[in-house]
Amino acid sequence: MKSIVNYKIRFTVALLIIFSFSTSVFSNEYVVIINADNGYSSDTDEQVKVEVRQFFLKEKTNWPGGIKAKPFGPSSDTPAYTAFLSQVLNMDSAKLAQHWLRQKQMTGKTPPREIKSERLLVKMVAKDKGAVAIVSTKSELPETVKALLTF
Amino acid sequence: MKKHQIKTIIPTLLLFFCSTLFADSNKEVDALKKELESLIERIDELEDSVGDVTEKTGNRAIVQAYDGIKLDIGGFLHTAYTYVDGEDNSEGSFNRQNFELLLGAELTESWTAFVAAGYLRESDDPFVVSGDRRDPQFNTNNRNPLIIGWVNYAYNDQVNIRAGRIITPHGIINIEHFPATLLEPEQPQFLRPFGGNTLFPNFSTGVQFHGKKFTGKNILSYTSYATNATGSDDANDELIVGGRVALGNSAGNWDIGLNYSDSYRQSTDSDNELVGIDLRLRYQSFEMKAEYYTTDEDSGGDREAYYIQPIWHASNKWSLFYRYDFLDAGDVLGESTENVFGVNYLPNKNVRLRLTYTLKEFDEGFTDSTLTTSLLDADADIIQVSGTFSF
Repeated sequence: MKSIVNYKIRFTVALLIIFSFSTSVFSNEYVVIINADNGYSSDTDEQVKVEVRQFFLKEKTNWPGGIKAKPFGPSSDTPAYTAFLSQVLNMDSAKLAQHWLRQKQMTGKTPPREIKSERLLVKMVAKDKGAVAIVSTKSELPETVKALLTF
Repeated sequence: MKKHQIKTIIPTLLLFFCSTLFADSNKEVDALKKELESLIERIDELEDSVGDVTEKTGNRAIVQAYDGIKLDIGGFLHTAYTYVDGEDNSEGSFNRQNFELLLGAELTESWTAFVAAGYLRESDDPFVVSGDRRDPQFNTNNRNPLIIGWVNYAYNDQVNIRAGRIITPHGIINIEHFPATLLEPEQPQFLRPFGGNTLFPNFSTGVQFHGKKFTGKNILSYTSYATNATGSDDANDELIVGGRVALGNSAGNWDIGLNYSDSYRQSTDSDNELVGIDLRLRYQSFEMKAEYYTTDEDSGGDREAYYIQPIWHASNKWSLFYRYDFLDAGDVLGESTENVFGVNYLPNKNVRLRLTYTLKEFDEGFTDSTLTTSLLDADADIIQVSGTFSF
């Protein structure tokens, strides 16, 4: 009987650990933001993710409607950057470095500018119709900016 | 109301009134504290940003373009040592010390320019220097070619026009031809010599139309071109046309390309048509590249080339690969095969170090276009150590 109780306790503790881990890893901590005047929309988050990836890798350079896309990256020493790499770009930093090395040498393209301050990122997106950036979900978004995707 | 009651009520009212006042002022203090914390946080952010910029520029002058939105400067240094153990002779040499300067400029949102200027100090193909493929030798050439120099107008993602000196847009490795990204110091045989025209010219001068169509998770891309044939003055009168259509998925797991050109080869005075296919697959840490081409020549014999290159990216720093590479370069040069085994080490993203072993075999071939004197078959073992340092 005692062993069954022990087993139940262990099982409950394990479930709690798994639950807390999953919420910390997969919770929506970051948001992709665009200018409120950007009319872009998509049916699925998956498609948004694909297109955001294309914008940040500079494979795609125009929003539907012809607005020039201007991606601003999170600073490479931030947790936002790590989350963005694994959950949106689906690559590690070494693969991303090779991508930009190839782009630089083939086409002269350079990575999106990294901006450390989230407040500044929000301002840049509010100012430019084609801008797209990643900020924390805790950031206050003005009416001139809208959320596209959380991850 | 009795006097003692009044005495009790008045202090109570006073206490209540004062506590309300204190509560209000406490709220104000809390609000001010929060605002102050927020301001301190913003100042910290600004100081960090200023610190980052100061660390990069200090009191140095900041370079700017004469005109335009943006100017980027980069480049790489590529160095190689090659040891060849041939049929009749063995030679070793630091045979390649190349520097390329890359300049990218954004003139407006739609107009961009890109230049790759080469400062190349390198030997010719060691099997060509002596004129005898059984007797490999090295020499030294200094050249300063304009490798790439184009201006691009982007109407949108689907329609781009590029004019100037361009990479001939065929296959995988010719398009990604920069040593900083290549696993091997020697490109496949059909792309040698650098700047040559074994199957198609590595580079050409003219105009190119290109674009991409995004369809869900896939990308359809096209490139078409009309350029001068490569060679001396006479060849520049000849126009060559061609293109590549490719389909791949956005995640980069696979790409397949179809290639066609209608061209002129000055070395054999041959009009020729080329068709080819290229394929790249990626699955987790495995990658595979393959290209196949065949030409229909007016003279000098039809040509054919292919390679298959499996790669294992053991980690972010280590990659191992093998390449089987076949070339039939026409009646005179004949056939040759290479089996290449290589390892790459990337200590950081700007440095690529390589070690390769190549077993090379020459079959058939003649000394000249009269096809009267056959060349002897020859084998060679080649070891190369190379490094590319890019910035």
